[in-house]
Amino acid sequence: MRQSLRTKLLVAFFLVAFLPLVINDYLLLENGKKKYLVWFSLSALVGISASLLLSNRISKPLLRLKEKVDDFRSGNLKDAIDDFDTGDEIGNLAKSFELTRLHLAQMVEDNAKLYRGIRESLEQRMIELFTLYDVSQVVSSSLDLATILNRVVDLAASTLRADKAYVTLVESGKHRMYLNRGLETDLEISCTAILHSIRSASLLSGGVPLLVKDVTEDMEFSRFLRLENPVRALAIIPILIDNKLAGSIGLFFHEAHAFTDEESRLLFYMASQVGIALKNARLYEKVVEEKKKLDSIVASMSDGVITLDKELRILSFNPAAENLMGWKEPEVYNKPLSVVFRAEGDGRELFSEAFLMKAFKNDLKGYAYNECTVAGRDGSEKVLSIAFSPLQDEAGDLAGVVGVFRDISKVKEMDQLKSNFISTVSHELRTPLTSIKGYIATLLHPSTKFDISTQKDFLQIMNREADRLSSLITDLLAVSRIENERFRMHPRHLNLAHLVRELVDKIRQAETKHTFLLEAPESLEINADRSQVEYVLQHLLGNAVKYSPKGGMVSVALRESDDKIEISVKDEGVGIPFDQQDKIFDRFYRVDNRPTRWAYGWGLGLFIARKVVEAHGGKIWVESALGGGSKFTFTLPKMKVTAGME
Amino acid sequence: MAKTVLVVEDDPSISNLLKINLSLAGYTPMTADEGEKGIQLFSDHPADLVLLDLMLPGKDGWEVLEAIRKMKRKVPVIILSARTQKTDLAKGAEMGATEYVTKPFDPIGLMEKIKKIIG
Repeated sequence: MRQSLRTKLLVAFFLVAFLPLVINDYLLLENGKKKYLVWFSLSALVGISASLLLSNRISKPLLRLKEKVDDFRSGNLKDAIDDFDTGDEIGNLAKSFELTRLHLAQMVEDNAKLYRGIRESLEQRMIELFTLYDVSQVVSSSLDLATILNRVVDLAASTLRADKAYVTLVESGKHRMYLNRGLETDLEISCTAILHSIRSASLLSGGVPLLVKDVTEDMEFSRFLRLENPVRALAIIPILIDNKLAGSIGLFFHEAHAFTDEESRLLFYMASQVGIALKNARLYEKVVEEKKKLDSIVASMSDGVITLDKELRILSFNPAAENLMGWKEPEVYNKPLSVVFRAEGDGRELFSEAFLMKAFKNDLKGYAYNECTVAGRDGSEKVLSIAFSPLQDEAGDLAGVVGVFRDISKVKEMDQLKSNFISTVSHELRTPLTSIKGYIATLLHPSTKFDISTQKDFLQIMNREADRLSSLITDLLAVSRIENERFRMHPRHLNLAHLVRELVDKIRQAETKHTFLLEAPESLEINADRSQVEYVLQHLLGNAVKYSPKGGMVSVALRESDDKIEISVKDEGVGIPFDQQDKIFDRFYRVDNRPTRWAYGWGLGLFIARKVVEAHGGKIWVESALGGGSKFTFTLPKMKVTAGME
Repeated sequence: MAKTVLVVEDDPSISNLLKINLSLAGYTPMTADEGEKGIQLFSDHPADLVLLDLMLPGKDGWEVLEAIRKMKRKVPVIILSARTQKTDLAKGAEMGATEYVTKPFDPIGLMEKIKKIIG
């Protein structure tokens, strides 16, 4: 338009500027020249008109065309480049531009379509990836099978917009419904039928998913699904463990569902992840079960078991350890050994971290063992036998230490008693032997002659000492028989009242420092081993005398009740400290805190007495106070004793 | 004057045996059947030699030996014991016993030993 206006202004300028000059010149000129001027003016006019005409026919369409081209260059491809039906080159040019426009418009449309496609597929892939991520998250975040299967089946159903879903696990060759999301009973039955059909069985066991986009088009499966079931499409994906069918995940759709490649891929991936999870979960279950077994073994062990980490801090402490030491596991967790094991004397270095570190530094196959006196939480001392063994990690470095310990206080005490016993027996054998040998040597002295009466005195002493030796040997043999379980009773008819009276009379004559009081019925018959019962009575009477050196009353009582006979021997002697009263019936035990040590004995009598009484089916006990005398009582059952102690 | 020998022994048979043999050998025997009595007797009548049992009621032989050594350092003391462990023998030497004779012993031989020590 601007172009056009400029042309018009140019023409107007020419007309306004030159026309008066031309007219003026024309009026001044001569005729011959006027003619020339007229021609000149006419030709100028024609030229101007022609140029105006050309301007209309060429410039205007060109400008319009330019506008159109500018328009579509700026992105507008909608408006057609038409109205240039001039039939000349401009028209042709316009057609060319129009073709270019159409081509470009087509390209743009194609690109847009392509872009939309790529975007959609990208979105789909993203969803797929997110789902896969979710699945792997579920699988890796839990070892609990139920949790994994629940979440995976929910993910699968929601991602594929399924209406119903299930999970089966194969047990002894059969699919068993593990999870059911909305399957009615009849659908569950149909589903089981489908799973066990030859087609699906062979597909699934080969690891191939079964995808049916429309069951109405599938003759085989439509017969499994009853009419009232709205199921139109289904997907069954095998769960494989080590290439073996271990179960299946199923999805049911109320509408026909064309499974996309992505969906099949997703389902396949889910199933393989579930397979891995299932395998892990089963392994985990097995490990947990094994651990439970091991824990229960450790928990029920009578030995204390302690584990330490590689810094030698306490990791675990089993119930036996808790009982032995008086500490609870949570209290000792992460504590050093020395807090729990307050050791004294030999072997205490075993509880030092430096010692253990050094012991296991170069030798991870060895162990450290010792016996040591250790104070428990309450301060009570016990002798522990304890062995620490190193635990190795995969790299062969020290991963921790396991310690096993037990209370050997009783064993140690028994050891001590045994060694005391040996020394006592040695003493008790040597003492009478000293007398016997000494008197013989004296009698045999070459330069001395003894009168008959002195000789007789010597012989009597020797005889008494020989009896002493003999009774020790008898006791030793009895204990040996008890220990070898060859201690037999020979129960016979026995008048216990007569026996007790006889023994009391005998001791009354021998011991003049003591007064003997007997309370017994005239006659009391039982069935018992006479020599054994006599041994018990004699031993109790002997003890009563022996442990009341200042004399006093010895009361013997024989009482009868409905089912048993109770015999007691009571003295007014030195008594037995309370804490030792239950030990005196043990083998080798001798009361050690007696104010005097005049009484010989070897710690066997009461042990044998207890065994005899127990073999008869009775009991023996003592009531005593230090300085207040002792009362020993034993019972014998009235029923006929037949069984011996084998 | 005859030399005196103190016998501290709780077993009456052995004590009697020693008394007879000491008398026969020409010594004057004194006897005590408990540790405390032995110490008292030695303190009242210091003997020329002591025959000492270890396992005694009340104060034992070691305590008696210690007490005697405090009173009269140099008196010969012969331990007569049924304890035959090396530890006891070593303890005897350590505590200053002149001899350690284990039971059973030969009384004639013992008298000869005493003769060598105190004449």
